[in-house]
Amino acid sequence: MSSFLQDLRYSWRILAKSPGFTTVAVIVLALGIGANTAIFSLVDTLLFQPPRYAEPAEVVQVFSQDRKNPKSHRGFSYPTYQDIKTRNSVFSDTLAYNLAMLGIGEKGDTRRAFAATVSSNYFSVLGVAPAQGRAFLPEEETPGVNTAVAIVSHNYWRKQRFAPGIIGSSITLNGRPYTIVGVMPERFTGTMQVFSVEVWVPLGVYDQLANDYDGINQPLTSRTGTQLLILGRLKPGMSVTSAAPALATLASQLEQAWPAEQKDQTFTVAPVSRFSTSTSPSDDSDIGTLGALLLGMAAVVLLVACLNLANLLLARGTARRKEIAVRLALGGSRSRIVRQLLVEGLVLSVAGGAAGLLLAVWASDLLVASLGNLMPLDIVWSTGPSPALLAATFGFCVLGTLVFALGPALKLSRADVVTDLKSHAGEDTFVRRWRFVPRHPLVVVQVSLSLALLTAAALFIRGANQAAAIDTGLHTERSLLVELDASLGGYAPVRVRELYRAVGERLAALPGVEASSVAATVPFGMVSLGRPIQRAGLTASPDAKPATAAEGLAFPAHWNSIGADYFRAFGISLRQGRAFTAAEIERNSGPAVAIIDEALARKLWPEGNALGQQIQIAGNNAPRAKSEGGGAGIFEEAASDLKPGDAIEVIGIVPTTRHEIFEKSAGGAIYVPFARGFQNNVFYHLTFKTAAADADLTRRADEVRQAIRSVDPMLPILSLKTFDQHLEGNLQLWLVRAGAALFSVFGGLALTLAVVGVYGVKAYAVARRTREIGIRMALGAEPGSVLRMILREGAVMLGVGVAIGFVLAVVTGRIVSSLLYQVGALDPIAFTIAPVVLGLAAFVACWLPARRATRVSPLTALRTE
Amino acid sequence: MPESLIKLEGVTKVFLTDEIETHALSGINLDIKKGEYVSIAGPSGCGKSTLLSILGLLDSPTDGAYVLNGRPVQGLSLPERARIRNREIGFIFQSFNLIGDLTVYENVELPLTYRGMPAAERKAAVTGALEKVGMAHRAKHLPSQLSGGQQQRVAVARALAGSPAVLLADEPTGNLDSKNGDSVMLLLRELHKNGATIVMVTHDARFARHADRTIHIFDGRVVQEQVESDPTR
Repeated sequence: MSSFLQDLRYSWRILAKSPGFTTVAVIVLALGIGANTAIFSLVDTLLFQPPRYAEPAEVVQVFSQDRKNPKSHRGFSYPTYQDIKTRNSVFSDTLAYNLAMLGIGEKGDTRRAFAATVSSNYFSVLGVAPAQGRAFLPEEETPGVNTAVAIVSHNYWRKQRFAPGIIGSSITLNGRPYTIVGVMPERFTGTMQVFSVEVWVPLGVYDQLANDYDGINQPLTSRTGTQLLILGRLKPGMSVTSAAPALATLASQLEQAWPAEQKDQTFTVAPVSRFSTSTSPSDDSDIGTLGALLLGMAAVVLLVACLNLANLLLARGTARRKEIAVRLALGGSRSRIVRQLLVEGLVLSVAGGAAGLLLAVWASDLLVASLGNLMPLDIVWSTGPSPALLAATFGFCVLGTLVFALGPALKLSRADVVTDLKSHAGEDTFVRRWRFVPRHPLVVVQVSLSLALLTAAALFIRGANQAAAIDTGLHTERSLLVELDASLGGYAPVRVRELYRAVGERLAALPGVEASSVAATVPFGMVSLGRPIQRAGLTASPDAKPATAAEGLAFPAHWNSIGADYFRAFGISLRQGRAFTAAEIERNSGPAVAIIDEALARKLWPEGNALGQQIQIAGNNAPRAKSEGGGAGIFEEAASDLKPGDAIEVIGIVPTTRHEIFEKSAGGAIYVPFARGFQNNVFYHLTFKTAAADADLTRRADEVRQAIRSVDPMLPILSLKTFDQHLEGNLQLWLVRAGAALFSVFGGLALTLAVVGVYGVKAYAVARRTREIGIRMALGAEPGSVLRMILREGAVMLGVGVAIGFVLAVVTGRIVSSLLYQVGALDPIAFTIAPVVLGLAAFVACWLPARRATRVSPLTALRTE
Repeated sequence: MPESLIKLEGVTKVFLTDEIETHALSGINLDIKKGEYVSIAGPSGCGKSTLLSILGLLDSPTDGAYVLNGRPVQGLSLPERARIRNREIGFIFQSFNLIGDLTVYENVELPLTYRGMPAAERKAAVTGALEKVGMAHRAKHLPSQLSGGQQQRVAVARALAGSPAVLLADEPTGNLDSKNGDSVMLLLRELHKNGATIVMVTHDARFARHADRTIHIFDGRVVQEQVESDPTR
């Protein structure tokens, strides 16, 4: 132990003696270890940390599956939940819940937040008790009892600055006061990992809080409802497999008892997803793949950092050969020398690891804060180093030390004592054994790995640029977007319709407004609505396999219910037909009309004109073409007065515009009059006659706010921004950009490390070869030929590195191709830019020392003898 | 009367360190004819190596004129000096100064590549030079695989290969034992017999006697010139 401490002291002294080297080494290690710690923290939190509820292995989700169409799943009604809860033989208890978006009233304003309406045993089944106050009482679950009580998250309490009297205080949900009866523990996130709702309310208030997307016509007591998700805690000894037969039997019994409501439904179980609250099973494998990819990238960065440092240590070791030879001559064993060198490496690693840990914590917080700005969900992220994170960081330090210090230590301790004792200080006594190998193979490996990461970064940046430069097809440069949801203020639907009509009139009358329109959704918003559309009068059976619209094939289409001036507000001209009349917008009876886009028109009538034709919403089981949309965000089936099979006349055709960033190709949209698809959550789109400067837009936004307040001061305004700002807040765009940022950080780190590595070895090589350069100059080498010699050697090193890196980049491109946005895995631009950037940067890194070499005075160089 | 190859007139070299002037050479006048074998002798620190550096265009005089092969060279640019070093001067250093990474052949070839000589000519010149010093059989070896005497022979071959106007040897036996030292001195003598002009710096009177003429330097000045009536054979 004492000899280890001696090594430690000596290492400290040696490193303190070379502050330049030590600083560079610590920075290099901090970047490498920091990247790994940050990614480990992310992956550990998402994938490995156990869920925040008791015995998670026992908790499973129950699914209602269509026996005839096994890919189709749906939620449960409250009565079915009661049946499962009381009649099953496999669970010790079951819980039911439903996610709802609601408005939290704060200081006269309304903030949108996610909440969960839960059965009273929700917390007890999960085995987590409130940190303060109590859980819900069984009587609070009774449908329609409307006991206004709520339990809030720790984050909500934090937002209230940890108010001491939180229990018993009031929270305004959708305009109604609720009494807070409990606060959940700090890290509790329900059944999901990281993401958490802010408020839990009992199922007894469901009908009061149900939002647009839950099928508002379905009260909780209805057996046809599909609002609820069910989780069960398996009895001891039960497993997913052994529970299946009993649940299938129970499903059959319920189908017999309720043949219409439970038709073709069977029950299955699967482990609870960490990231999804879906009615369909999800295996989280995408996140696992992403996690593995991120860990792999971080490992490559650490490897590059270690190679970098190994090179520096080897170069530095050359100068220390005499010292090592003296130690060996004095009887020091090789293992003792190796240990001394390893301890020096470990000291560097631990210093780099400490700095890396700080970097990682800062980077994680930045990522969480960036995501938190976009989502109305609480993100529960344990900031600061946890024991697991500290252990992982130390592990990276030890691993790093072995990778970067062991090789040089073994090589340097194999010293030829006699030669080294005679050697001039600083003279390179190594002779290359294999001359065909570039002078610095470790730098070659660094360059190649860096190129692979840099190319991946370039691919992601290209994707982000594509996404940012997306042609929406909309003209939104002179517009403002307002989101309202009167239901969050507790208004009844009839009143909401009146309010929205008044708001529409008030906004249209504002000075400078060219057009204004209400709509149920906004393109690139968090929620997309959709319905399958087919030609009217066709009802293909679920078993039929129609290939064309004429045979009854339905096409998934974006759905929006809009006001009369919607297209004018977006600068879209009708291609054919007409816009909705004011009467059609207000009327939810009489002949149904719709406007469709050209993409849907072409799909439904590829051979002819869709204008004037009849279409219908397809039934749930109708065969339909594959959707081209999807991705992040919430895709919901639109609520509408129109039922499947109701004939709808196509009165207009508009150009195709995009609705989502992740659409493979824009296309397929149906627009109905607002009254036919009324929603509480609406957007008003206003276009002004003239373009306005930012200051003008701020003034106009104030005018819009005042106009809405003048209709009703309590109307919840959820957002008021320009369309560009709305687009900037798009979750899909964030994902693409976050991916690009993440890969750019890794690519940038790798590039920096590679350039530092190239510069380091070349600068060191020039310094070590001063004498040789002096000899060459004495023999008549001109400065230009010395410059060319150093650059040529650098170019060989870079050329080999870039060639290997190019192959690695192709492999990397293939691996990440599924994550790229509208960019090919072998995108020629990315595959050109990355090598050029790396090549140029590395060339400059070679050129600087080469230029220094030309200034070597042969006389001074030769005097070193 | 052989024509003059090296002519120094009033050459002075002053080093300025920490505002203290050190006069390494003061008013050196020197005339070396083509085909002459001159040794420069003197105690350590007398300025003989500085004089050789100036002769080899590795350094410039502070004052005075230097005419090499009929051309004034004291005010030339760095690339011009490099070109003259490459074509007119062959260096032999005390510590051989072979490049460890290059083979014997490549070391000898190096000055010729700087001259831009075609490969075939280079090959002939290198082979000829190595044969002259008796090292042709070691062409593919690395310097570390040779003895000190052999390394100095290779260094001599390198100096010879480009057929320079003058060979400048700085203590060529300083790192060799007496047997190898004698052998190198015999080699230089042999080259001189065949017409080479040699200027050698040495502090060893025994080796200085190999030259036709010995110039004694003390405190940066020529204090004596001694013509050997019977240079050691």
